Amino acid sequence: MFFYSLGRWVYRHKWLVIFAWLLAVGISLPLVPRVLEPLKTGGFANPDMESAKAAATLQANLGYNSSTIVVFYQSDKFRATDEQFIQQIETSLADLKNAPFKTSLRSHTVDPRQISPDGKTVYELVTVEADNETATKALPDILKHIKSPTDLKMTIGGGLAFYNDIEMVSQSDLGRAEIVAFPVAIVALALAFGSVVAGVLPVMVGGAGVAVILASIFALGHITDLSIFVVNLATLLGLGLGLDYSLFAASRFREELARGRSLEEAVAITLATAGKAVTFSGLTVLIGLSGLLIFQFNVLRSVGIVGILVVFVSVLSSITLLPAILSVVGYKINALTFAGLLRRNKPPKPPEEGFWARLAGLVMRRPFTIFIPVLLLLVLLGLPFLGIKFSSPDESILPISVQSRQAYDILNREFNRSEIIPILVVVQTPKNNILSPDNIYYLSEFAQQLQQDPRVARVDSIVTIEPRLSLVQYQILYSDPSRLQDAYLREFLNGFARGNTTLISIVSKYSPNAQETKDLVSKIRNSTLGNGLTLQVTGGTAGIMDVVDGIYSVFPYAGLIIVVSTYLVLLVLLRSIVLPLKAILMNALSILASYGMLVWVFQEGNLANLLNFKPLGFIEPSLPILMFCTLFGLSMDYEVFLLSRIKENYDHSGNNSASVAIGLQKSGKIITSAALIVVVVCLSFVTADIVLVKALGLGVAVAVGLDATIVRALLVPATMRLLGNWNWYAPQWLLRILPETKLETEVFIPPVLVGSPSSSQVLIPPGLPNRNQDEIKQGQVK
Amino acid sequence: MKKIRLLLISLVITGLLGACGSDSATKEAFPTPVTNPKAGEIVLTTAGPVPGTVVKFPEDEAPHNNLTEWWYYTGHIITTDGQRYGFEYVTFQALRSILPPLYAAHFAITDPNHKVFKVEQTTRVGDKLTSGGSAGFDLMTSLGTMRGLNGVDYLKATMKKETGQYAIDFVVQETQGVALHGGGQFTYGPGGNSYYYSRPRMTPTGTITVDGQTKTVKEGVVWFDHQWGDFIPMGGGWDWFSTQLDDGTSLMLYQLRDDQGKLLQVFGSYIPFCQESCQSNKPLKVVDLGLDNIVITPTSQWVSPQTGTTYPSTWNVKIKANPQKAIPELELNYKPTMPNQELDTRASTATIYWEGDTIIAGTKNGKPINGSGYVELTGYSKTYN
Repeated sequence: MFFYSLGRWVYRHKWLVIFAWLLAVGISLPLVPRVLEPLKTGGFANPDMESAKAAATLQANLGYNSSTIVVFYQSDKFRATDEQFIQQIETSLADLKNAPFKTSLRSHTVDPRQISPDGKTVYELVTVEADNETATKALPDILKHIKSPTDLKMTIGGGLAFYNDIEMVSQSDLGRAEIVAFPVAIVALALAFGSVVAGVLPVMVGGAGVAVILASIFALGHITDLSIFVVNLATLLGLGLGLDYSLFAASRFREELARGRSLEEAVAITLATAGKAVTFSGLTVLIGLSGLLIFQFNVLRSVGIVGILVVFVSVLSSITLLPAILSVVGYKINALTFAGLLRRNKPPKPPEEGFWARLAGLVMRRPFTIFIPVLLLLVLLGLPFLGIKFSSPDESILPISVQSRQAYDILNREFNRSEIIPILVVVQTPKNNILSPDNIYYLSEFAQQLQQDPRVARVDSIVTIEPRLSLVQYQILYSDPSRLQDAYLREFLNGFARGNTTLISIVSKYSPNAQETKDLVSKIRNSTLGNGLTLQVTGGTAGIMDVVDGIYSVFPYAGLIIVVSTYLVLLVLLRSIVLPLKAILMNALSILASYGMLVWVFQEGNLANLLNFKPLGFIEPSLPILMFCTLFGLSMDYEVFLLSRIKENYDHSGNNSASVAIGLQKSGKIITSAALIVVVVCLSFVTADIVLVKALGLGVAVAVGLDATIVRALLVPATMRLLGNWNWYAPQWLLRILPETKLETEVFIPPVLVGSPSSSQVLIPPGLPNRNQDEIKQGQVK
Repeated sequence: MKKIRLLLISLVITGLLGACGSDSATKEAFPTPVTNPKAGEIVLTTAGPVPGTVVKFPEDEAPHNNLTEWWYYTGHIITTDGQRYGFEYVTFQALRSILPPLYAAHFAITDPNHKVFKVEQTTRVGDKLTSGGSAGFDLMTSLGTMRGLNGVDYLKATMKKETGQYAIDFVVQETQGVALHGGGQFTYGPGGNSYYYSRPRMTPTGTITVDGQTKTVKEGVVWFDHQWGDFIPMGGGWDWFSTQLDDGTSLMLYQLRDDQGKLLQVFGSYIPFCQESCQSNKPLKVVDLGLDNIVITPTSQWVSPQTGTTYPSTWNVKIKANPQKAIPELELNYKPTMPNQELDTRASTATIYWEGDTIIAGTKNGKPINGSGYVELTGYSKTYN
């Protein structure tokens, strides 16, 4: 009765509730434009990964700095070695000495590898003496000190520019998605309700929720590290869930008013029924997203944290703000109805004659005939997933209009990209003497083996830097580095070895994402150097591998937690051991189908022109996880509404098939509308320029779309029919210990059933077999 | 039947989920290096000489693809106004890894009458010059030009204004031939092997600008060294002496030290005066000298006020006679025309060294003899940058 009481309380304190929300929104709005400020641009690494540890060692022991700006210069007129070319670059970079951070430059004039084979393109490496996060934020100010040459085309790229562009594009994506999502959602809702007022209300509630969510993210970002990617996801999920929940509640409110309830009673019953269902449903979404908290990767953990926040705020707004507004709006909720506007009003059909009931009837008459092709279709859609290739996001997730993406394309076209993304092997000795003659011997032996590997283009190390030097010469030279006279060797040694650490940098002949390079990293990691020397591998490729390994070594556990928790929630709700399992399998099928689509579109490049992106050739490893957790929550949302309706009817009728049809019909419009809204909101993210966000939007839209159509309308009725009374099976001993938790839709019996000859009257759609309730007892399936 | 169907669904989904981990890692590994047979010690091995290789002209005048190479001129000039000057003009080529060659140039003028010693230096990262061929060498830096072929070389160098108005514009011409030291090769021990020839006597013509005054060369003698090879400084240093005696004979002495100052190697060449059949680019008669022939004794020290480095400053050199090898008995005293001829070239070659115009007085087979020379002292300063 908590929700019923809450409903009454909200009705009586509606202005207080509205004022509290207005206050919250008022405080939030100024913070919304600043939401990106505290957020981190990275988040795809885990500090416990080998590659992250090695990178930290490199930075701590050798001062290795990866905060680099790659400045490309191109000319059709001059060649890279021409004096004019060099002078223009020098002029372009001359003012860097006045930049807010100290910078160092590696010019193409000292490294010919920075000149393209045709001599028309060069890149200059500008290293900023600041950590990545600080340097990224300072990049716009630093770039003010790089002038565009008059006769050369300049393109800014590299890690810092990449992260900076992500932030910039994210902001514009967000703005564009909101511009698309809000009006389309209003129209969809208005159409669903047939009323403009009823349609606008959920958008108001959803919008207020999103404002509070974004402001909360701003605050949370100052307490814990949150990835910048959460903003798009929070908006997507916040709008989706907010609208969804408001839709359920507003819909129920209208039903109750139609039944002649008083305003206060209608609000109270709305909360007791839809409000409780929303909270239950929110709980399942929350369980799905909480699975992300066990990941050490900031981007996943951030989405978990923010996801929970989103669910909490969405549920809270739909059980407080919405009923408060409903209390104020009252009967005017039906104002500006399309029926009124169009002077047209159709009488509602009985549930058993509705579209969804008829469709369910059709499916259940030939369940196997429907089940097999639908199953095969979903499996077929999921098949491309077998060919999934994971890789970390790079500039290829950005649109080609962005400079860092153009720079990335130049690098790939004109150079060996592995030159600026080498494999970095950090070698350490237990003693503080990495340069001892013995260690030099073992390093030299190892380096020679590396050089002989056919995948290796080059090995840069203190024992290979100059191929004309012998092992003995290296040993003598390094025996007392303070007396090393050769300036080049001394500078190289300073950057590559200190104390107990040295760096071996390996350039692969293949791209950082290529399997050959990954195999090479694995081979290095499997190797031992002898003499107590230990090695750790970092760099772009190792980072990608660690992210994939890290994510997918934890994913089964996260998945298991989500699945088991969801199963338990549904078990309590549905009091069957079969239905929850079936619900989970149905969800898994729609998720797998959307995974397949993800690979088919974004990895293989189908529909690339239509969706306006350049194929990635890989899938970002966290994407399937984000989708899994989000979709498991959202899809389960619909399962809860659908199965609770089926169960409600089953409890009254004892007729499995009829209950499925009626349940489907009763929840049909709501679920369709809710799914439509989520699909619309998600599809608005397909307009995003960041491919990752585009993929997430499309992936969720497809999965929800499939779930709300093929799975719900065909697969669920077919499997419900095939499983028959097994659907409701639960051992008696289990039923005795399960808590009695019912959605109060079952308590607040609709008037149509109150006036019937028997409260257990069975509503049977035409053409369906009618089983006697006596045949069916829970736990006594014949 | 229903159970089988359920199982089938589960298997399909499980199979698809299993595809997540398809990025399998290889178990391939590099073999662990064999245990160091000489653990804890460095087994010193001496590089070179490379058997069967000979220095060829004019091919070997041109740059080579080696770690280190230099073209080194030192000379003594008397201008038409009777003033004596010394000069050093050297261009280094350093090749490291696949980086473009680094060129460094040092240019120094000694004006002993006014106790003025001026030094200029520069570096340039340049395009790789063509090796071999018959074009000789043509080295340009911001200091000027150094060009040479078949013993006729053109030297032009100018100091920056802030250093002072000092310059040379010489044509130097070989008057005797080339001296192949040690047959054209010698070794720095573990430091590597070097090819080495000199043109011990070249005659300069042209002008020298000293403190803004351009003067015409009346007479002089220039020593040219060309060394190249895969050698690198290993922490010690050397004392190098070029000697042009008034009787037309020449002497080159090289004394290598380790980083503790211990003498590693002494060698040299005695080059008799070539009176007949001397041809440009043809090897002169050279008598190799070794530790058993040479005794070099520093007789005083000088402490640099700029760097605090202590250098030997005057020397007594004794060459033991060997009639079979036509080596005369020599006792020569070397004295710099001024003590402060230290070059702080940390900005270009990362070294501080002393190289100076020196006058020589002594005896040859008991008879008095004078001469001019240049002495180079490296590895005394331990300040590298």
